[in-house]
Amino acid sequence: MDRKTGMRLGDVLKNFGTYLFTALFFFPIYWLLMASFVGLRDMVAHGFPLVPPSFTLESYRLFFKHPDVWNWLWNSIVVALVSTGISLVLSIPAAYALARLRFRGRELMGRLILFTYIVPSVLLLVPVFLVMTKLKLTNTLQGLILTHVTFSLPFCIWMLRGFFASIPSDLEDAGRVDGCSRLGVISRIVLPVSGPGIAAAATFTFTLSWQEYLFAFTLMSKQNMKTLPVAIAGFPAEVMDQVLWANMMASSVIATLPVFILFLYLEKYFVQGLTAGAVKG
Amino acid sequence: MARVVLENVTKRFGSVVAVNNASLEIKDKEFVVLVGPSGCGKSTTLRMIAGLEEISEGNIYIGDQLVNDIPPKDRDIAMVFQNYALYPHMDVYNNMAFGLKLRKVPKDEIDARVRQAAKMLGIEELLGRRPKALSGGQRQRVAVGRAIVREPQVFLMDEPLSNLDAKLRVQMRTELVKLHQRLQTTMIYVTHDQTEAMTMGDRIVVMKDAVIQQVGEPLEIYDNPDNVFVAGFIGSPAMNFMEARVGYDEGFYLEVDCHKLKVPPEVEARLASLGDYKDRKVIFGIRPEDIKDEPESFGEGCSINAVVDVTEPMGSEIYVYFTLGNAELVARVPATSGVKAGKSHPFSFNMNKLHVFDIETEKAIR
Ligand SMILES: Nc1ncnc2c1ncn2[C@@H]1O[C@H](COP(=O)(O)OP(=O)(O)O)[C@@H](O)[C@H]1O
Ligand SMILES: [Mg+2]
Repeated sequence: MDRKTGMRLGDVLKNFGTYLFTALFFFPIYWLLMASFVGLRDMVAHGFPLVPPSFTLESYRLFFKHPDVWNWLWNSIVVALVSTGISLVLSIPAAYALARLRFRGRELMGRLILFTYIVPSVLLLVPVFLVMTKLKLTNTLQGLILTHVTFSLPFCIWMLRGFFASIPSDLEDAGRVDGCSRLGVISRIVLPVSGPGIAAAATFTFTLSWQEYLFAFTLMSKQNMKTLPVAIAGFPAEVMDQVLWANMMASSVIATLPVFILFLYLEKYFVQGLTAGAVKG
Repeated sequence: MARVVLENVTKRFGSVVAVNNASLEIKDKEFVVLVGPSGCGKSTTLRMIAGLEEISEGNIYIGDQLVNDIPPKDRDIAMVFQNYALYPHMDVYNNMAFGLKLRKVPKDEIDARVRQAAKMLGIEELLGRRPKALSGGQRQRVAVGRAIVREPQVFLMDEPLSNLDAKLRVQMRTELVKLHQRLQTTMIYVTHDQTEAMTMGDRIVVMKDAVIQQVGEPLEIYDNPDNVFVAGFIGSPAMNFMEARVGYDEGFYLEVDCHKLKVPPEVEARLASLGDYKDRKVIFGIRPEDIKDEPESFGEGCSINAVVDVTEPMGSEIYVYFTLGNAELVARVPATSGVKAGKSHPFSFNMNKLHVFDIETEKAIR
């Protein structure tokens, strides 16, 4: 066997590995998708087959008949989007300061930031609930947004700090010599160059908020204030028949869609090496 | 166009003194090169002039204006960075136009200036490209172009050629000198490469350990270095140094490893304080081109015999390495010379070109 076929064999194995892992990760999603298209009668007969005998949108129709469904969707979208926005607006300047400005306690602060994740979030459940009750923020979107931001902010700051620190400081100096103020440097140079970092921070926050269950469940007890994950999990208590399962599958597909679209849209920003060519080496 | 003045400028980073009490006056339209080994404070000096580093002590003037507290954007300077620092999210045109747009220069004037600079640098066809699609040499030109479109009072360049390959570096060297002649703008240029300093600068500022060692025109510094460091740093191969004893026997002589080398009367007349060093040790310096591979080329009492260690043929000449006492010396001799490694050979020193330095202070004895 010569070198060339040896390399090819390596490629084949590598590709096989890639396919295998992709298949493993996508299987549950595939199954979920298929199950959501199974008609009620088929479900009684076959359970959840990998290839349904017939396709129907019955489950989706059932789901959208629920009187609160638009509220749930709206709640989820607003909470996730606003949490993401607030997280970015707060974490960008904080991360920049930690990465670039010289001030007392900068190192310590940079390190302590991730320590906020040491406490398991379950332990925070009761205190957060009590605080939100005191502030009269239970069953409000603001309350849940505030909670989600407190969870995403440290990670966003930490990640963006690393990203900003990796931008060559000469690039900023060039901007300052060319005529930018400090803020001008941030808006005209640092942010445009930080696309991948900001996209990653945004995706992280959005996904975290979109799928968060524990706090949404605790803080949002009113039926019309629930978010999608809480609502979906709440079906069993509400409708106790086989409709239940179909409903859960269809709603889960719908709940997955925005995140999926978000990833597709942001993918191009994750492209490595956006700063390539800025500096030598 | 403006002069730049540094008055007792000091910069500290915590306990590190990066620039120590530097005073310097750079004339309008002058091309000044800051040269010195890595870490000696060249970049810090330049960055203080640019306003990118605060000054710990002292004053800096650009034109007649004290600029200590003026931010970089208001100093009317342009800078070329060692790694080019091109904006990766803009194409070449916008990289060059960026500074002008921020200064609200009218659009058609921006366009004219960018195109003119691009033409001057031969990068017209690259205007639509992003920096990552450029070669090192092209990026370097864009970085220079971005500076010249600004038409600033002062150009600052921090080792702009050090990332280019040898051939391109030599080519850009001449181009930058021509550019300076054409633009007639004050230029402060930083390099660790003494050849660049010698060939490009109207005047050279030699720095070491945060301190300015000597300021002068290239040949002035080459012929009259103020101290051992400058003497050894400027010139390639470096000046030869050996310990010598100053003796007197109907005229001064330097005794090196039992050889007595006569100090010519003209030199003696020039070195007024040599008498103070009678019977004391000094550092004797001689440039490689001032050593010949024959006896008595420069009159009586200037020759020695030494065993040649290594020869390095350079084409037009040969570098001959030999040992005298415990000093390693190098001579530049013509390529036609018959010197052979391993053989004993006579050498003569052009004592008219000798340099002597105090052994303690390492300062030139004059
Ligand atoms: N931002 C900084 N913080 C701390 N020390 C610095 C900083 N910049 C430079 N220095 C120190 O100052 C000295 C001079 O550095 P620099 O001006 O970059 O030297 P050069 O450009 O001559 O190589 C060095 O000892 C360097 O370590
Ligand atoms: Mg430097």
